[in-house]
Amino acid sequence: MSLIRLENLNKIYASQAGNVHAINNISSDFKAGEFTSIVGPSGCGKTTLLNAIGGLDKPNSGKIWIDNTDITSMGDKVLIDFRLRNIGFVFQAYNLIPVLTALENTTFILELQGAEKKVRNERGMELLKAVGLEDKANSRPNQLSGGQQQRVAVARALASRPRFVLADEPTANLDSKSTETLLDIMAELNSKEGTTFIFSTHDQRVIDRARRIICLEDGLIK
Amino acid sequence: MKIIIMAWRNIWRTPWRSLVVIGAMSLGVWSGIFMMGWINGLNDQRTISMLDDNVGHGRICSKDFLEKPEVFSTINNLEALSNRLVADSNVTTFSSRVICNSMIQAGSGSAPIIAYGVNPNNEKKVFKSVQNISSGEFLKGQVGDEVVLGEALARKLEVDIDDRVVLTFQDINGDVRSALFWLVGIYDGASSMIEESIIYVPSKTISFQMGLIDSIELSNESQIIAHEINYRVKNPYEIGKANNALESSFLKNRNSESQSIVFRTWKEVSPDLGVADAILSQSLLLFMMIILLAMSFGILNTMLMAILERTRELGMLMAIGMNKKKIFKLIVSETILLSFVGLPFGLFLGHISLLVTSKTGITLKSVEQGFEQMGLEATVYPSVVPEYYLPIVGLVLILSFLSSIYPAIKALKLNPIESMRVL
Repeated sequence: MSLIRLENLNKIYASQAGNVHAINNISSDFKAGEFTSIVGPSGCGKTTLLNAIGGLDKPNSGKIWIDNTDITSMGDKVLIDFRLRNIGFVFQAYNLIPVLTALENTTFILELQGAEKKVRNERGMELLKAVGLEDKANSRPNQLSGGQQQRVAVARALASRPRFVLADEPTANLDSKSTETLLDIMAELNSKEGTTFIFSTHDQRVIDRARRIICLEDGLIK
Repeated sequence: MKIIIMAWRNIWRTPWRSLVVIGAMSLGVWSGIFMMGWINGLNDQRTISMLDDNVGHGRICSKDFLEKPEVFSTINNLEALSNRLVADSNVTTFSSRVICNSMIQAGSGSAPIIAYGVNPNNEKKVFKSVQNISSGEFLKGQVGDEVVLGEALARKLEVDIDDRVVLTFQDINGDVRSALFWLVGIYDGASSMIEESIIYVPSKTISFQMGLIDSIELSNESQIIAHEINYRVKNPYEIGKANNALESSFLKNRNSESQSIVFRTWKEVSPDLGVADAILSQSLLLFMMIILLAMSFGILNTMLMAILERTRELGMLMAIGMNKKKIFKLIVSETILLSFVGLPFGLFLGHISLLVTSKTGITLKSVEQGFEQMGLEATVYPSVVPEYYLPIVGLVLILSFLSSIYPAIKALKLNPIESMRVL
């Protein structure tokens, strides 16, 4: 059974040059445990598609079913809570909270969910260990390298054991070594914890590691 | 928990900007408190000066005299009342007066006045005006044909020490009588109005002239008749309590035939002083509110800048699942914390400044003469005003909350996607 099902998804942006069809009648399924890359050139609609799946952007038409729940019909308040409990996000620019330590960043979502401190810290340390940063638990983001920050971002995305993780160009700002380390970590977490990963990328190293590849061009699946 | 910690840490992301706001808040609260203490001190000084000069802390008279000040409306049981005042631990001293509405005449004119028949020793203990003798001396005793006038009246009547004046007044039977007095002293009163309207004569002599006592009682040493008693208490600002205690003690011991006696505080005797006190309290809080309101605009501006700088971060927080309630709480917490860091410093500095200057005083050389003309000393002793601290804390809390609402609403209106530009 599908974890995520997209039905005739359309997203149109209005611009001075006319309407831009960022997503053009896309339908697709994502199964639990997948390690999928959405690939394509810049402007092909990768980020728009991820935003729609993550409930951050509403499509103009079509449905997005997650575990048989249509998120396109949800109100903002419900959607925020749905994101909090079901989706992990990894952003291109890391987007850690600068005033929190690596451990606090990792456990932030658990705290928003109301988990107890002991549970939070155990899970946080477990994940920091998994991403090789247990010795940096008390470091602030500005004390970490780009690669280390992105590993903390991955740990944060996984802390609450979400149904799936959306990662938008996660390696775009990383060097080769950091990219390899990060991909190793995500692949291991995917196999160990069964977490579903959906990437948008045009990084060949990520594409090479993906078990499923969806190619987008001008808002259409090729 | 984490919201507050995050808010606190967010404040220190731009330490200099936060320090400027905190410093401004401290200075605002400090200056506001000092100004409150200063104005309060000035008002206290004016009030105390008026009380010392001619109002007293409390006043007792018969109900009849208060309603209609007739010659015969004296206090019947003066001795019992005096004993009660002596026994009362709050009362420090008191003085009885016979009051005689008269016309004073001298060579060059006449004027309506109120003659206070006093025991000079007691009167000096209660009122300072009778100690400020600018020429001659005050009355020597309760008997004698001496009179003390104010400077303004002496000038008006063109009289000087050893000159004669004639008082014309009604006696107890309603007959008009005149008596001759010799000017022995001229006092420097709190205002020319007081100097022109109040004169002092020996209590027994004027009582005898008014027909209130006979010649045997005239030679008796103790004062046996009075229209009013003025008294002082340890703390004039707690006169209400002292007065109530005195009144209830008196009422407990009176019988059904006893005369109705009225106990009035200085606020009742001189309502303008009491009203000034109440108006001042309100005005000082209003003044503080204006200072804090100005401060809150500064805080609002700082928070708007912070929101603008952290648009991306706020968008990310919303994207990962931080709901609007928590975002609102975060912004409000940051604003309130920012305000509250400066508050204790301001309160502390204000308190210390007032503690020091309330002991040393501040002398205003440039307005010394003007102050003296108003009967005030040029050295002002600001008063410590702890009663205002809690309202100030409340005001800061309310205003900082209000100034956080607009930035918080701005933050809540952010769209996660637009704020982050890219997912």
